[in-house]
Amino acid sequence: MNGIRVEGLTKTYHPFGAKRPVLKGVDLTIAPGEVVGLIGPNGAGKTTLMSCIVGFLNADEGTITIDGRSNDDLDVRRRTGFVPERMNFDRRANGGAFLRYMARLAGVPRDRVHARVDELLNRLGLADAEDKRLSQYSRGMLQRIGMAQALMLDPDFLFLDEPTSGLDPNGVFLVRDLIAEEKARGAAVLLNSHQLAEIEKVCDRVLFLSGGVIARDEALREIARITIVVTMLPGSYDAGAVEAAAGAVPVNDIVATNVTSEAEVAQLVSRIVSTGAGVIDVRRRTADLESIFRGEA
Amino acid sequence: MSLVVVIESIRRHFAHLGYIAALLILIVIVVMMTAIGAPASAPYALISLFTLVAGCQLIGPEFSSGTLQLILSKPVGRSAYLTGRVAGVVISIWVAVASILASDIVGRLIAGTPIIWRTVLWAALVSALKVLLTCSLLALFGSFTRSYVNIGIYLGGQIVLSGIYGLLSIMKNAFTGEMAAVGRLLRAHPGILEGYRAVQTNLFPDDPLIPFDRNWILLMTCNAVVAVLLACVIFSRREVPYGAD
Repeated sequence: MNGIRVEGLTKTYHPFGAKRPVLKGVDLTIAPGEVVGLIGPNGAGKTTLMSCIVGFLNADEGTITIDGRSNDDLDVRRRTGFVPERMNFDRRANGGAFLRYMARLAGVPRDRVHARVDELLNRLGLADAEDKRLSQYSRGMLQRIGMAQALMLDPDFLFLDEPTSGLDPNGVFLVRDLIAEEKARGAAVLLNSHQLAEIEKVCDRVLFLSGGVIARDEALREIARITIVVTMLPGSYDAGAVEAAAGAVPVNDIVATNVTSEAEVAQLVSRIVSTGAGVIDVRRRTADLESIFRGEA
Repeated sequence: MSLVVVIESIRRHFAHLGYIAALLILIVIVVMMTAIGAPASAPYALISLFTLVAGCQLIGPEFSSGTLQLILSKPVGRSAYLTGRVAGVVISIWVAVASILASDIVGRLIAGTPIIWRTVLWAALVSALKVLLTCSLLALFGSFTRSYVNIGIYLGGQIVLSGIYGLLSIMKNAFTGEMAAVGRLLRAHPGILEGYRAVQTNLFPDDPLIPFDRNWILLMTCNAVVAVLLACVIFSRREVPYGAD
């Protein structure tokens, strides 16, 4: 299976005859089993980019292919899940009826509709709210049911627009687990979010959209980029010895250094401990999204 | 056409308390009208209002609410969706037409008035075809607008087209004054006024004068089909910006 490929995508809006270019040649690829985060300041064109990829908007130039096919191919749609930032639907419908309609539209076999809807309601913690009208759903519940309809057919391509917006911590953990499950299943996931901490936790790669182009493409799970931060008990160590062991000067009882392999993490800690230092905390720090955001925004 | 969309559209109407209440009120009014000897076509006048209320929600509000993005992310073609919506709404209103027909017959039986089947059935058929064309036009106008603008175009179009036709008819008879030149043009080229009238009668046909007029039935059906086809072409090319109004 091929992933999602966008090449030279441009999109210009024409509000009241004026020209407002939003995307100026975006190139990106998302491989199967990869979770990619999309960040950028407000108005950078994140939603426009996602809308173009899903097929709601037409690109002015450039190509968008999903598994080597056009993004408006119905077979591609069958394998696509989309979670909007705000779930809007007939608010008089109850949760179960809404999901059953979505299941039928998605092409779930008639005899499987009820079972699949029940599975998803249970998985998303909405079983008790099946008979409630959508108008009675909280923002978080709407986000969950939005996620449920997207997962209806175990999609190969998942597009999530602010999926954790309005969710309580349990909801956030649930979405995080679901994304991990989809990744493990081999789905290509594009996640648009303003919550940098969430992006850091779930994404393999992050794209920073600015000025209508992908300004930065950072791999978050690349081991060479990971910094190990070791905190030591004050007064328990010799700064010179720790510097010699870690290759970095401790500052405020903390020494931070880069490693190039997983095995090197254990070796580093062992070397520091062997100097007599009382190690009280060891953490991995991935590429700092906040610095990227501040630097590029 | 997506059968899932047709069924959902019908379900949504029958799950709506307002629709059921309106239908019951309609039935009561029809029985009362029949009891006082109203002509066979009179009860169907109420269907026009019913059609406008149900038809205006065909597609426009879905653009505005953001519902459409959710649906279009599913494997359903845009034309299949739109035709499914039109069919669902038309069938829901046809149920009201059938209810009127049944109430009319029951009312006449109760009142002891004779039932002239040809007249009664023709009145129902005229109403059903008008529903079909109106919904098709509302789908067409909704395919390039948002919210409830389609109903505005529909009503405004009727008023403006009639107004302009009346004005042109007056101008045609102007022999002196500032409008004399226009009058001369319209008299020299009667095709202008005839063509204009043809557009008007195709969009908003008058009621037929002859019962079971085949030409009128054909006109209504063909125009409805053309309107839906045009709506599908426009809708399939239309961008659906993400997010609600």
